[in-house]
Amino acid sequence: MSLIEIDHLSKSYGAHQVIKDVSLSVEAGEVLAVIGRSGSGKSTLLRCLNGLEQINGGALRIDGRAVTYDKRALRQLRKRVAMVFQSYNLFPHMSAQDNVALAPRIVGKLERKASLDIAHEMLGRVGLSDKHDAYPRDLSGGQQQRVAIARALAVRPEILLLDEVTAALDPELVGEVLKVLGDLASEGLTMVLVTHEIAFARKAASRVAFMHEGRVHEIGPAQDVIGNPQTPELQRFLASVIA
Amino acid sequence: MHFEAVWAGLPLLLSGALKTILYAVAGYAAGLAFAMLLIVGRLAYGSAISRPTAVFVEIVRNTPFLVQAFFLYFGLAKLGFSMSPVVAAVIIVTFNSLAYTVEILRSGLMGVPRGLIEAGESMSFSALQMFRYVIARPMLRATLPALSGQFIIIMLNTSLLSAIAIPELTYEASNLASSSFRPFEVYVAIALIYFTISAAFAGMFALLTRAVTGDWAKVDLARRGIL
Repeated sequence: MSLIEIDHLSKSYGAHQVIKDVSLSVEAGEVLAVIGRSGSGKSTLLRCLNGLEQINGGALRIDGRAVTYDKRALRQLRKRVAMVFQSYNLFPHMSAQDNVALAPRIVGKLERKASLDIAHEMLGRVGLSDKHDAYPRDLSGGQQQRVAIARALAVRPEILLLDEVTAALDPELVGEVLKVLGDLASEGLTMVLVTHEIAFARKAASRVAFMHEGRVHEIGPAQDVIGNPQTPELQRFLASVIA
Repeated sequence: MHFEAVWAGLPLLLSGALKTILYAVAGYAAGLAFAMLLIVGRLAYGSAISRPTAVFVEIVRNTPFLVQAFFLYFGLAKLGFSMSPVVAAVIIVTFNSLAYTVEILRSGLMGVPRGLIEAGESMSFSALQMFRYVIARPMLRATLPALSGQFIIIMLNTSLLSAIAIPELTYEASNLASSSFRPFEVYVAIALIYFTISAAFAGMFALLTRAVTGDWAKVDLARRGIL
């Protein structure tokens, strides 16, 4: 049994179908990179995995259990499946450590001290041990995104979802975030990342899925999919992003 | 101009002024508290709360304060809820404040970046946690000026309660005006008193606004145990 099983999933907004009959699975410890043009449905697919979007058809199972949308089930799901966003979404009125400590404290019901210990551990993992008290506005984009990754890790999820986490960053800041992700991948954390960083996908991902117009067009080992694209759509896409 | 009557009646006017402040502060605070509950309810239950709230807001915002006061004072009495003038005054002010403040808070809620709420959702915060940790401060930061203006309007509106014989500043003033035959002087005096109350509260709200909207880092409520 795979950790994530996506089975003939479809998702529409009104009459507009953004995900069409997608099936794929992700094993524990695997890193799946999802690539594709804007509007291809890749971010929506990711948001479905965390229950931020409800699916309209098909099934979604995490560790064998179907995703449902009652509050309790969502709470359980989100403890196991954490998400990092393109625009960081840090709480601007809280310091880095309070951002990271919040979920362990109020969702995980830990004492403040214990939650701060977790925050310090996670900030250490993303290389920000010197920024415990910094506010988001005092941090660079790359640092903010690393705090956001630490915040997602703080609930000790089994799966980390990353939605174009380097897309909003200045080019010189992308590297520090990718390094953190590379470290997490080598530690065996299961990750699904939507990304435009083709070189990173090739290096860090175990498999790559290419989405086009709501469908998974190609999927396979990163080297094969990126190194040897089969369909004209993927060839065109790779040509446009690598050029 | 003969202000002797005003001086003689000053204790009466000041006690009326205190009642005005009491009705305004208690009613507004209660209205604001209920408004926040409705915002939390909206986060938890969506349109099941937001639709009836919108109907209530439209009814209150499109009817005169005085008519609302008549409706609650005499209407509730007719249903068998007889109440003291103080309780009636606070209920009327609460009712009116609730409609206006919930609308102000709603606009503030719309201004909270969607991404922050999604971040909270993705960490499975409850509606109450979402309100307290994610929404409350950005929302208050955006709405305090409007909330403070609304308080002043409602405080001044309590003068209409004199029409249903609820003792407050205007009520005491009209009694004093008719017993002393010095209406002009008396009303000049209470205009000054209302102005003073308004200015004092506006100043307090301005300080509060500065505290909340100041540098997040400087006014760190988190450090003081709110987080």
